[in-house]
Amino acid sequence: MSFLLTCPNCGRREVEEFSFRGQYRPRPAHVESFEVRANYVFFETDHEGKRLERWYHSSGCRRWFLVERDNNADPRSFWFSDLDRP
Amino acid sequence: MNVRNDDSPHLPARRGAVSGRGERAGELDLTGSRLTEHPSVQVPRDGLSVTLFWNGKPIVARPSDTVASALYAAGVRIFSRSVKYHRPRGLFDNQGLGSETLVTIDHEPNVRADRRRVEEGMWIEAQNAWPSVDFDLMAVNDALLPLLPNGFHYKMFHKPRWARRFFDRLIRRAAGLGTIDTAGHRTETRYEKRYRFPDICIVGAGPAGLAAARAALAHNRRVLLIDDDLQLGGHCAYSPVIVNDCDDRDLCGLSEQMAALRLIDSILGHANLEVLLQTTAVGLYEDNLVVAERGTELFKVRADSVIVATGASDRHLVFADNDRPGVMMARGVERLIGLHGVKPGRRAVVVTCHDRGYETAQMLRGAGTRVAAVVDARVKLPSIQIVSDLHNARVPIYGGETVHSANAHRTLRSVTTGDLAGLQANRTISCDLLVLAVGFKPTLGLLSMAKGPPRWHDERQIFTVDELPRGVYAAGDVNGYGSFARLYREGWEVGIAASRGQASPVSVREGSEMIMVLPADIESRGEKHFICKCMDITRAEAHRSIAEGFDQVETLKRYSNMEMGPCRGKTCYEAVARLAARDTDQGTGRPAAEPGMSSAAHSSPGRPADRTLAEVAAALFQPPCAPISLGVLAGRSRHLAPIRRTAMHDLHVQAGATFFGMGEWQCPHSYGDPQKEVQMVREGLAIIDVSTMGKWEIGGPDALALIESALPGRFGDLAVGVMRHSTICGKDGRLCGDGMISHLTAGRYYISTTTGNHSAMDSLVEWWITDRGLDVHYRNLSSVLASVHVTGQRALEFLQELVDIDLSNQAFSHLSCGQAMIANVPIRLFRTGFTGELGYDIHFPAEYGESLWHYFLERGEPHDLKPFGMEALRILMLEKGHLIPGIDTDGPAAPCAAGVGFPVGDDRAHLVGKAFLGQFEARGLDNNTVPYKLAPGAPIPPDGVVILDSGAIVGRVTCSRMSPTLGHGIGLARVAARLSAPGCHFSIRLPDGRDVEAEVLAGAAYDPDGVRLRA
Amino acid sequence: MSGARLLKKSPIAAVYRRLGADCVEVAGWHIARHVVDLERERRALREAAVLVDWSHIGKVLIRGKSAARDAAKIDSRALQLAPLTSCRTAKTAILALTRDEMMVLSPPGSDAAIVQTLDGATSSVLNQSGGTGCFALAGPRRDEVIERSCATNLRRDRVPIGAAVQTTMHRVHCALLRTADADILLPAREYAQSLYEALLDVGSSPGLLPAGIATLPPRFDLGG
Repeated sequence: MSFLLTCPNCGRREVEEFSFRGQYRPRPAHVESFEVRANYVFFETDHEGKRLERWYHSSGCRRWFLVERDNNADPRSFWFSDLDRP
Repeated sequence: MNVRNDDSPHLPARRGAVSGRGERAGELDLTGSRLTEHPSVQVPRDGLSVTLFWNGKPIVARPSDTVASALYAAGVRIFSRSVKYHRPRGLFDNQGLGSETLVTIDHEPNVRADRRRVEEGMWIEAQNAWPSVDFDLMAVNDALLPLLPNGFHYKMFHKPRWARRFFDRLIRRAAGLGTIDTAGHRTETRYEKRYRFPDICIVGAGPAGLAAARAALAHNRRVLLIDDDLQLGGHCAYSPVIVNDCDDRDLCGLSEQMAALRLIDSILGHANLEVLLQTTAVGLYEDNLVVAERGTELFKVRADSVIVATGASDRHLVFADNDRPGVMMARGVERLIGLHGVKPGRRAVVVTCHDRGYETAQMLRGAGTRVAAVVDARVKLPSIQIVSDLHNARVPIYGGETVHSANAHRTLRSVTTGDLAGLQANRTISCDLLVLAVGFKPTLGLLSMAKGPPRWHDERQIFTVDELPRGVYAAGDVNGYGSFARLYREGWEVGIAASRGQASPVSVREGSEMIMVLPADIESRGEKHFICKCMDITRAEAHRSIAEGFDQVETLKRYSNMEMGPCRGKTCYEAVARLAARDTDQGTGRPAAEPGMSSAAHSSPGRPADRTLAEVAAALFQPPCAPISLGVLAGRSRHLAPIRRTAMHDLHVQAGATFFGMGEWQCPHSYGDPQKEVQMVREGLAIIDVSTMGKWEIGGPDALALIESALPGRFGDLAVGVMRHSTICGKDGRLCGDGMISHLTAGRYYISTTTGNHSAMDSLVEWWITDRGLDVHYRNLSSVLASVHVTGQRALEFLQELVDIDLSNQAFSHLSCGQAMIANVPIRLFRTGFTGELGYDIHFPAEYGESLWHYFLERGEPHDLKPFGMEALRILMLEKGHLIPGIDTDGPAAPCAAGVGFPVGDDRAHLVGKAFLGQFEARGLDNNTVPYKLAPGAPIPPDGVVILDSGAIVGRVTCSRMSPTLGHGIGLARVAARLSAPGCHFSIRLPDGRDVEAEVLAGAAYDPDGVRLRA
Repeated sequence: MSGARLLKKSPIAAVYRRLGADCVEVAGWHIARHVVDLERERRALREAAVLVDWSHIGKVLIRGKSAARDAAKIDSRALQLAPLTSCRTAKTAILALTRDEMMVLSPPGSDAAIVQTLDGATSSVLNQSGGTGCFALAGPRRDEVIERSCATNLRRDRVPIGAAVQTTMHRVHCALLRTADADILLPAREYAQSLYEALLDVGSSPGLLPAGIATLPPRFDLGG
């Protein structure tokens, strides 16, 4: 059943209001090999602990944001612009 | 005839205020089973004024009765027949925990009679029995079924195969309890969903729950108090025990019943308190979601904190024939007396192992029931007042003993008692009531859902769930038996902790409060010891299941069906866990040598090997906690599912269109005859509502950059006033959509896409903008603009009359776009041609939908303009070989595999899917989507049939129609690359087994050079 | 017939026809003056709840980094608005939906002027008056309709007067503006009829009636 996720704009909402779109990682440059770019598209890393994910608030403000989700603890939501990019 | 849904908490009418004239108004009590007073509890005093019918026989009852207490008072002892053996079952816990009292009321099956208040005229029928519940022919199962192997329904009646259907039907008829009302007496029932957001949700209104509510209200919290009973107070609502040492001095010295009433009065009516009675919390989910059911309403409660104060129920005692009518739980008996003023029987035997059991015996005596004996598992009797009273009254008390069997001929006649190991029977005592007062086990369902399987708590000799997640608290009997004072204090402290968001206080019980002795039952010998009464599982069957290898409590539960019945494990979970611990050799999983023998030798009576139990968890409780109907889960969903309608929807309805669903959209399929509609387009003029398309506008400095990074086509050279088709590819390079890009005004691009995926497109475009950090004005116009397509050779001539710009071929050629006015309405105009005829897309503000549609039809009358639907459009597009991504292509379709080829230059670094687009050409293609035609007169295959080559499946037909224009069948197929060259032949297999031959076309079936489009 | 003025229709025009509503023309819009009858509607507004179609009001969406600054051209208070709040006069309301998206609600027929005022704005300006429906839920028992309709916590202490949130009701996405006497719902046009009918369905228990602008004309503030 549904848990609650925090949208940076709208606050805590039922998770059904959101669309989950997978892991967020920096995209490999187009000069990388085909294998590297294909792996980026098809394989996500699945591990215990923290992972950055893309979520979309489809039934609310309709904005994309990031969630740092530790599958052992509570998630932390924030805007893309607040992420420190490498 | 459903549960009364008054929002006000319901105190039984009798308390203080007597309904009507008081005693004996209405019918007389002829059975002598009604009490109007009792020495230690207040009993109801309303008269017998309600008439109900039990299997056709009229019965009178008090308004305060439940159906069960009314039937019991009228002398009914057999309420139902068990599911498998058809053994007679009677009132047991009197609380709706099990399945003994399931009856059909007013065509509603499986109603728990002890949970339903009586109403005038109720028609109550027994279930699962024929011809009657008193004489049930299926009781033959009791003799026959034990001859079948354990779990026979998994192993037998599969062969011979021809007989299997017969056995299936037979077993199906015999299975289950109530019958669903298919005659439609109950179809008007309205089920509703309701949402609640309290600060604190308290489940259980016993002393702990009430105290917690009091504390929370004192802290100004909004409290929702839920209880599944018909009145507040929990187990105190009928308890004679005197309260001592309570923190609230006002409650001391009163009976628990009176103290509970006073406590209730002190909080009822508080502005921040909402009370839901007769409401069962069926599940507790993550982030404090409590789902509760009240008759026809489903409450979804999101609370900041949840306090689970669900209390405890009587411990189950396992002995021979423990399921007979006449065997009752102690609280069940106390409820009969205290809540309903019904004398439970003439002669009773009370089995106990703790002091509280003696209070039950005393209460029975006060109700006029003769206590024939008290059987106490403890050797040393307690030195309490009641024991002296019983001695003085010459009631025999047998220490160090337990009950061995209940002897009955349909209902109880006598019980046999003896030693704790079940080896030596000492005496038989005649009685019509056996009261089981052997302790309490916590109702752990919700806590288990919050955390995990219950674990054995050594100190308190019960199962508990510890380390609850933040925001979930437990208070009261659910942490172990305690005095009123103890439960009050615990509830109060937990209420404070929940109000402040603090950690839960540690639960404390003192030695004298805890019931330290387990009844000696699982160990004793004998037959027909029922562990799970709901599913008719005896101890012997459970033991055989363990012997077959199902020795873990979770697999044992599922294989044997224990805990899977209507009680959901509430009655039997502890017994099942103790059995699993007892009957498997300490940790090795091998069954013990002989049930009853080895354990008796190793343990002291009444205190079985605790270590084994500690290793065994009870089975995890899963929602729902109590049986729940599918109707209440569905609510109004079926009626409330949203439909998306175009601005002209109702006009299509009025014109007699048939509709089909495209996702949530309702689209007009046709207005009568799609083949004729196709001809209308080809021969002259027609109009279709295409408002379901997605429409976006992209402007701003980075508009072109966004488009070029998202779409594989080239658009830098797209002049103003021109449009171009493009595919849309996913990040893996696969085809996921297509659309038209129009350069409307300088720097402003307008994109329209097919309906199928435009909702997903929205989030996708938002993502591209967010991810690439582009400066664009992105506006979703899908709702703002409606659109129609006017098409046919006469389209130009018709539209030129209405539009204020020059539409001639020179000024507005094929694939032009622009803005104009029609009847003072601003429109966007696009000369497309997806039908293969001259055609114009007209997009206009949706609020003009109805008016403009009427206007078109009116002005189009002299031109013979008629509307056509999506089916005709599909045929028209098929005649032109246009494919629809997602329908004519499947997931793995490469853009070029669909015949949409283009080069991808190296300078398009950021193009979505770029990594893959180049790969397709290099790797070659396995499949293609190709247009084909059939010979005239050949049967038209349905969509989706397979294409064969020498018996192997090499593809499938994605769309197939009769073309009225060409006079033969045409279609699109996805087929192996080697069969996809123009002129190739392949075989389509029809559903009836015939084959029809198709020929691949080089281009469109109709007007392959597009001459008609450019005229 | 060129030059004829075509009427703008509410997304629930079909419902008007079905219920026999009494309609009028307001600023080129065809809108219901009353749906059931004036007397019953007024009583429901006083004692139970009403659902009023305000789909003809102006709705303009401003989106961009400088959305608040651009909206301030309409009402200077917009500059101070935090997301999920609004500033209102009796006739106009500005909702801050996110930090870069504002919606301007204005009297029927005034949306063209609003768009004109915003000409030259750096943000994207979209006139959504026809693409978005608008329903006002009013009356003392309106909370009983909401609590049967929405899984989002809309408790008055968490979502106070003046709040502007976006959520889903009966699986229809909509924005919600809370005023002192009404909850104003703004669903997309294609969903509006479904939402309207769903609200009337669950609202039957607390006595919700459909009503017209004669019972409750559009306004966002009691004044002040």
